[in-house]
Amino acid sequence: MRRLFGPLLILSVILFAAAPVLIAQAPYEQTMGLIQKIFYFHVPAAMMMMLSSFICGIWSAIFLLRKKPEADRIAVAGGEMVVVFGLIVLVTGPLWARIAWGVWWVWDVRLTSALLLWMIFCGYLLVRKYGGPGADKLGAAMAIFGMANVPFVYISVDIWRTMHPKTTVVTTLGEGMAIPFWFCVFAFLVMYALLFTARVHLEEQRARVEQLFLEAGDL
Amino acid sequence: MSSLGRTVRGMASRAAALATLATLLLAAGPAFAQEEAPPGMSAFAPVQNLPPAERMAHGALWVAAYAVVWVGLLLFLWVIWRRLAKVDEDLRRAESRRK
Amino acid sequence: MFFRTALLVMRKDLTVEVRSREILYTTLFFAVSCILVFAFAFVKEGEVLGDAAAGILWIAISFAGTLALGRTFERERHAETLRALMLAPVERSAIYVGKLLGILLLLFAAELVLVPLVALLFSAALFSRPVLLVGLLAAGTLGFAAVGTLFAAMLVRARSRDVLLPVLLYPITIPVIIAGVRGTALLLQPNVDQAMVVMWLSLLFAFDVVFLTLSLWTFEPLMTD
Repeated sequence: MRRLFGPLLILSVILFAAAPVLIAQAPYEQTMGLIQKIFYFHVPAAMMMMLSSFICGIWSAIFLLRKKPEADRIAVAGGEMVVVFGLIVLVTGPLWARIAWGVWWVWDVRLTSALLLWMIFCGYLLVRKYGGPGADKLGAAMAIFGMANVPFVYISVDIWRTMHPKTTVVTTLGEGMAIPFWFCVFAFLVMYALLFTARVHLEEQRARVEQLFLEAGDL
Repeated sequence: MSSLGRTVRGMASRAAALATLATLLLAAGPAFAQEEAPPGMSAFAPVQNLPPAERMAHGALWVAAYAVVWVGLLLFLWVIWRRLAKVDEDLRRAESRRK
Repeated sequence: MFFRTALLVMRKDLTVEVRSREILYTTLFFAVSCILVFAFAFVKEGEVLGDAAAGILWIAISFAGTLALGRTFERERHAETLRALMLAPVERSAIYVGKLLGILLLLFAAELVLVPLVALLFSAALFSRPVLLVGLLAAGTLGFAAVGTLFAAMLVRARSRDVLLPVLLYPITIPVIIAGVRGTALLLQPNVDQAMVVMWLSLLFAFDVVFLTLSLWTFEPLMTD
């Protein structure tokens, strides 16, 4: 797994360095101007957050049903990445909203549910850290319930009349905007792959250390 | 696991699908167009010739947002790297002790 | 067999509770004191701030619920009876349903006191649409208790269970509480927007079904060592 780090790191640095150039060349939005361009990494970060919740939830379910410790290690990595990418979403969003809506935050369904999803996974990390014995199972249950909230977060903007732009914004992008956007999504995916493999690797190394100490204890 | 338990679970999951669907259908109905907030946008409208003054408006916020992404991700990567170095160190020590 | 086991577990809990009435009394006392604190804070010169009553009612219910959940399972832990229950040759999910039914009855009993009290102290027109109110309360309490029972049961063996129960329970059940609060707040308006109330109610039902399914599905693997 370690062999992947170098290429992934170089690739993601190149992609992230190229992203501002492409974003700068994209057409401006009629009413929002430059500030609309926060969209090019707010939305990919949100996508990664949801992807991560699914990774965490699905591998938690596998861990619960099959009792495989490998699945738990993947779930922990996923859970931590939900919090990291969620933080990016929750910081870049208000920066855009300050100009577009005139306020940093409104309590509408989309923002509230996204914040809740983030909080559930913060709780997940707290439980994993301070839960003591049995925390892995507790966390797994929490992740499954957290994952159940994701579809709700996604559809909330289309169901309720919220101030947040709808999901159709992405599918109706004109060509000039679509290319930089999907480029950014790709850059985030590569970055995600890098962070994810590194994080899972860390968890595997930890398990090995623990195993060694257990064996040493037996002697 | 007895068959009844399985039946109950089967029923529950089917009911879950139905209820979710029902909620979606209900909520999609026009009866629920609601409340005070102006509707969110459903598409972006690109323009070609925005006056230069408007182009750079609120540039600081845009730069801040991009910096948050860069710094945040790199920080997380660095934290993982440091934790990994520490664990590798532990691993080496544990292995040498075993010998 | 499944439902008989569930009913037996529920009857066991109720018998223990009826003998001492400890959980009902302490929970009620706590919830009533919560409401009184809010009444001091939000009622000024006979005027209530906004939709405060709906929020306060649901806060009281969720606090009372957390307390009741903790106490119910603390009792099991104290007497080491949960282990005995788990060793019994019955389905685990039936035990879960039994515990859930017991906690639901307890919370409904508490709501019988709390709802009139809130209506009185905040002069809120809670009873203008009794059927909708009962629906909201029943669906909301069920959603809260379904997740709560699962986590409280799991936490019996954890070290810091008193802290962890709210940490786990509140983020997951906030959607249910929000739907309950918004639905109840609509009932307080002079002209009740029935369609919106039904919308929140159906959202509550959807959450109930999802939470119950997930709980039934995960209870067995979670409670197995």
